[in-house]
Amino acid sequence: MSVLTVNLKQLYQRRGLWLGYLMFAVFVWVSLIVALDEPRAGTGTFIGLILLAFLVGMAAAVVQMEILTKPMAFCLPQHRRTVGRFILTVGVVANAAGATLFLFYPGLPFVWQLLVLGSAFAAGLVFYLAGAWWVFLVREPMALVGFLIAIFFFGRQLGLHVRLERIVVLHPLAGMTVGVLTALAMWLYLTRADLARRNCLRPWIGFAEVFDRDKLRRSPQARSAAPWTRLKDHPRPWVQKLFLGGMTKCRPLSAARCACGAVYSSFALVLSQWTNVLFLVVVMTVFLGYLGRHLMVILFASLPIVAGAMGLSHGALYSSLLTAGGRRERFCATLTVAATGAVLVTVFMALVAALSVPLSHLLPELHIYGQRLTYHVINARVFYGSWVVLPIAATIHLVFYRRPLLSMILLMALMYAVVLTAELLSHDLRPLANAPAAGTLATFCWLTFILVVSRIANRRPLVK
Amino acid sequence: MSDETIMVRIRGLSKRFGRIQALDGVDLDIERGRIIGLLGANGAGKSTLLRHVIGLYLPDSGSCTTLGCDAGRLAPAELARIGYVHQEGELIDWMTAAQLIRYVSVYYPNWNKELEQRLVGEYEISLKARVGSLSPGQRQRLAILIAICFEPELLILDEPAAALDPLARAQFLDLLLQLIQDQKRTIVISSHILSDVEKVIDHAVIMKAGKIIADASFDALREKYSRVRLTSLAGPLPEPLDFANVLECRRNQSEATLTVHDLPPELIEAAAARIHCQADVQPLPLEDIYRVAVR
Repeated sequence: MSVLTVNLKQLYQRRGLWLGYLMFAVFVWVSLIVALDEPRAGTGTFIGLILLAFLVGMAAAVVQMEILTKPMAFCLPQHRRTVGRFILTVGVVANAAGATLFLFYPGLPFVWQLLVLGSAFAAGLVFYLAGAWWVFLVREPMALVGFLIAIFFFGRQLGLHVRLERIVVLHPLAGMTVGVLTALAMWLYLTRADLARRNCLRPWIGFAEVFDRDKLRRSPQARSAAPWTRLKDHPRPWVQKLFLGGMTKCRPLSAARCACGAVYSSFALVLSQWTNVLFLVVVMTVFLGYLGRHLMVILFASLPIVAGAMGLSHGALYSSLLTAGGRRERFCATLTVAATGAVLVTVFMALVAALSVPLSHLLPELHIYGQRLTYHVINARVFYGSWVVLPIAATIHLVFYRRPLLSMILLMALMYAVVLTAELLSHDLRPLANAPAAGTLATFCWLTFILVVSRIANRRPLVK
Repeated sequence: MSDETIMVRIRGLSKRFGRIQALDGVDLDIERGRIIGLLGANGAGKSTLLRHVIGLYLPDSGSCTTLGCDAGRLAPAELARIGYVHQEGELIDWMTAAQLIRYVSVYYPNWNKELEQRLVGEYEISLKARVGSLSPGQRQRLAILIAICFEPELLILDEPAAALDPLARAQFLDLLLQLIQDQKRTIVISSHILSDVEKVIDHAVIMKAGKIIADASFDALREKYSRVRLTSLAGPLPEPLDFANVLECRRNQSEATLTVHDLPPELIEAAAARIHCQADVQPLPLEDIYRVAVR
């Protein structure tokens, strides 16, 4: 079996990639629908797969980077040239498949269509190799994903998709030349002598390693002090004084002292950066206000809470830093941290709702894609969902603590189910969006959370 | 043994993780003032056992009583008498070393500030550095510091020196020897570096596949196992050598080295005399005791 074959086998052997394939299949399906529903020339609807090649390139490069960064890879015989071979092989196959979409491009003579096929293949290859190159270039390629969404929207606004499609269709020879030159340049880059040396033991988190808790925990150490210097002098002395003073005031060796300590270790950094939190309040107020009365507001308001709850819920329970706190104290501390989180979220939301009132008089009406966006006062009722979501997210995270990927999938599924149901049944559900109903549901969710925490604290291993 | 002298009592302790039997009917008493070496290969169940002692794990069957309490129900008063350093050295990364020490110290009413300052100096801990930016060795030193500055009666060290360089390990052993001088303190130390452990322990517990295969004082173990160097005084050594309880034998025509167990020196000398040999009997180092015990 050749070295290349062994590397290619990863594409189906690594279960972490399967989720990526599923998401990618959705993107491909949407791209095909957009292009083939009513095929029209010159509208930019055919370049979806070419753009997607960027993500494929990133994925292929990530698979190779995950090997290159391991010290053992440096000495693997014949592996160094395999990086380039693997990336180009995947790129050629993926883009050859993607280019066939242009067979359905309307109004092209046969010979010209063949040239366009080559041009589409070359354009896809350029995007694909750009994605791969980006992974080798930057330390955290995942950070680009958000940036890509922004590029997509701005590019669409500027009509770049139409221009790109025109280049592919009207200038196929130029497209093919650029594709060949790019492939050549990338081949030279990927097979250069120092690539393996530069990346050997490089601290690096890949797609599949996002859920590797141990690796994530170790990575800040490997990256020396850089991430920590950003914290400057946090937590602020007043935060330290407040909480450590509070701990000292509690009876020694009491549950209250442990709870106070857990709140300190969970929220000290947030409180120290209260000015940043206020800035976030302003940004959220503007953003949510323009979303208006749409139910998506609930989703957008809830997502940060979900993320926060996931991070906070386990801290006090699974702490491997042994202090003078037993299982009972860990139970109390976890509930205190969750309750403090809920209070802070409520304060945050109250500020958002309050600030939206004066902003509604100041912010103008926006016109985007021909749609009129009016700023609305944010009704505090939209945040009822957050009080429900927070304990649910924390509960799911605690139950599936050792399976973070499953936990994430469940949470996302839950969120989409809630939003979809709310969208479909908005009229029927509206009467239920009142304080007593939300209160009852929130109480039920919090009681469930308390039961789960109690169960874990009393009956389950507390090893991180 | 009276209950007052027993710090930890484990009876029939079993724990299973899926298909893996991590602990299998473990019985163990840890007496006050003992320095116990918990030895075993990776996956032998050492860390699992220690985590039961502090209540992080709960047994599937059997019991674990620490400081007179069910380990799963240890209250702050008991936990304030237990220090624990674990192999990963996991701490709160975003705090500076000074902040972490201050934070942990608030939990303990009997925090020894003097000892803290002394250890900060001896361990060369950079108080202003973020914990997340410390090297593994520095982190472990910090972890050890916060585990002993409240002067615990029971100190549990789970592979404490694994991440330390030789110099830091020597410092750590010196510190352990100082701690040992307090006769009331009990220390349980699990380690792979047997040559280090050998210098400090007075009792050894050897684990294999979730079971305790040896639980004896270190002196008793050294008496149990010995190495015999035989030198022929007349002609070649006989074939075979007439010795009982031989675990290992390496020989040539005129010399042989035997590893034997439960064979008193007088019997060894008598047997050597019968075959016209001179016998040199030596105790086995811990590493070899461990090797023959787990075979």
